[in-house]
Amino acid sequence: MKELKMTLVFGIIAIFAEVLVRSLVTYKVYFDWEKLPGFYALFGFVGYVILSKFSKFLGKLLMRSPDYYERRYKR
Amino acid sequence: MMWIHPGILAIIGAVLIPFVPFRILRKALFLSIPLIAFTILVLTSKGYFGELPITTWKLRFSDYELILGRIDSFSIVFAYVFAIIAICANIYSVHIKNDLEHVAAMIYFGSTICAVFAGDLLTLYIFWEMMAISAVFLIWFRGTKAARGAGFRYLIWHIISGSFLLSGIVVHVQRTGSTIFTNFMDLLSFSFEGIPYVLILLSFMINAAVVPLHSWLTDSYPEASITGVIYMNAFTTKTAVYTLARAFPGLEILAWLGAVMAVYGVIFAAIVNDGRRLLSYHIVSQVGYMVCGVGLGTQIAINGAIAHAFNNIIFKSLLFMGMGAVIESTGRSKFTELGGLYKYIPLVFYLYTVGALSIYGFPLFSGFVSKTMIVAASAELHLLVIYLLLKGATIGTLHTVGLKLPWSVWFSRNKPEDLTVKKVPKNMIVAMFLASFLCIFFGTYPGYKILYEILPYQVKFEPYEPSKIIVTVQLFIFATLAFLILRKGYKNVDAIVLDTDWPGRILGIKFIIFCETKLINFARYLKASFSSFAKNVKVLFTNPETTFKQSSESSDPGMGIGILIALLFMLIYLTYLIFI
Repeated sequence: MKELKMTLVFGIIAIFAEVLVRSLVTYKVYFDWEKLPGFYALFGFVGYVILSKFSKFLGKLLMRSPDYYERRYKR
Repeated sequence: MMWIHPGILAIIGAVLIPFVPFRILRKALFLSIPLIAFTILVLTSKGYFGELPITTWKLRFSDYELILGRIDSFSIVFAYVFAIIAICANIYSVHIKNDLEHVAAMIYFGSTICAVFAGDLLTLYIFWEMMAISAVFLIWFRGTKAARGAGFRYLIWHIISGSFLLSGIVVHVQRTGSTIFTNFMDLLSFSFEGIPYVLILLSFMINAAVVPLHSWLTDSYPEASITGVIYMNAFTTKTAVYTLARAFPGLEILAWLGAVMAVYGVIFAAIVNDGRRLLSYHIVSQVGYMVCGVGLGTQIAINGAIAHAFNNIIFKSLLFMGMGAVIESTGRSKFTELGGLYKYIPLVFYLYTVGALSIYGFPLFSGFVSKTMIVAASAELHLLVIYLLLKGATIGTLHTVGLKLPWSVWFSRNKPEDLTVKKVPKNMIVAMFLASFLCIFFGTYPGYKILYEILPYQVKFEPYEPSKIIVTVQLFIFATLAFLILRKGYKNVDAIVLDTDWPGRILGIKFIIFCETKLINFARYLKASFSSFAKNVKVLFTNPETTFKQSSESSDPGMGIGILIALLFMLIYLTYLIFI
């Protein structure tokens, strides 16, 4: 739990840093939604969840026992 | 002064290694080969052999001219990094007692340098094949049964790649009369006229492990020898990136394939159970960024692709070195059989982490200064989907290389009871220190300025902008947060993952089984029926009487065959008379 709290604290600091930096210097953005502060925090979190769930699902489809090819041959 | 070809020099040096007396001298020669090559390259770019670009080492080969030395801003960057990583990899593998492994590695190194400096297509083809053949030995030197099989499959893929290249070259040379290896974008078309260039493109794509032609890489690299894979991960795919950048810059389909590769690699890396297989899928992912950069084709994108190839070679080698050190000390590479190694080899973990942060592209590490370049190039062209795929792949990189692998190997649980941890050889640690130093050096000032300086195009690009730093850091922290929350449900499964080579391998296995059962049975049947037929004929022509009696009385077989042959000739003669 300690790591989790620490990471959360760092995350909040990073978002505040973004807000601060945006007000101080010209902030280069390419797309409209990048104007939203903390967008990439959300992107990272959601992206991670989607990616790990999707790979788990894909794993169920594609995983085979380690001797899959050898067993095919022996049969 | 005449330029000395570092590639040819390396090949000559490699061949000499086994003939040098005393182990210590052999080691010295082995270590000095890439150092000398590096020195030559430095002298070359300092203008010691004349202003760049230089075209030299021209040989006549029947009607064609072979150009072994074409040194320009493109080729020298790749040659530099190949030499740098060969220095690290040689230190990493110097404890290996088998001299032939060193010979294979140095021939591989030399032929890679030669392929990069090749100014014409025939030279490129020769060294393209030489790379494949010398690399196979690095796989086979692992000595396991799996390595043998994987080596053969590697060879099959690269023979296909080589023959595509050769057939493309032959038609191109026939048509144009020129053997110069240059930009083929004007000639490439997806029509009958463009077939040779499509073949050349396919050959480069196989070697660059472009999805779906990547399976040779993820199949063979995890089975290669611990030290051999350091060379392999650096040379083959990045040489292909170089050839793609030279011949097909700005080919749109490459941008899409590259972005798909970047995500494909990380998704598969998330499911596999073998440390080096995970890293191999990351080669696919990282080369995806480079292929995407080549496909985008703008100056900044090409620069980014080359810079990323440069940095990637170093940090990916560092990661492979880290995993190699784990295998060296425990003899295992499966996540389900590892765990809790932090107490035993913490140093390897820290050095590995430098590589992991670099591959993620954390600020101050080398991946940051090159990956942002490609991503920025896609954003500047407003290619939203490609941009999101590349950004998403970053999260996957963090998930697999940054969290899954270290978690499974060094933490996650206590060390398994039956696992013995040996000491990691010192030279391996030294090599890893050197590589981690380079990762940080090229990620910070003045390293990244030096790197940008040697890139082919003079483009102003500043990676250390507040927006880029903040985006990367936020992504990093919040993806880690998601990992920490989901960590409980995370479990490695002892399994292999099917990939695009599945149909081919199953067909191959089916074919072998078919040969061993049905075909053999058919052959037996054929043999039996033919011999019984022959027996009957024999009996018929020796003694007609016995034929009907079905006796096996022996008689002179020669005579029967003689009569048969005479009859046959008569038959042929008769047919001749009647019809002609």
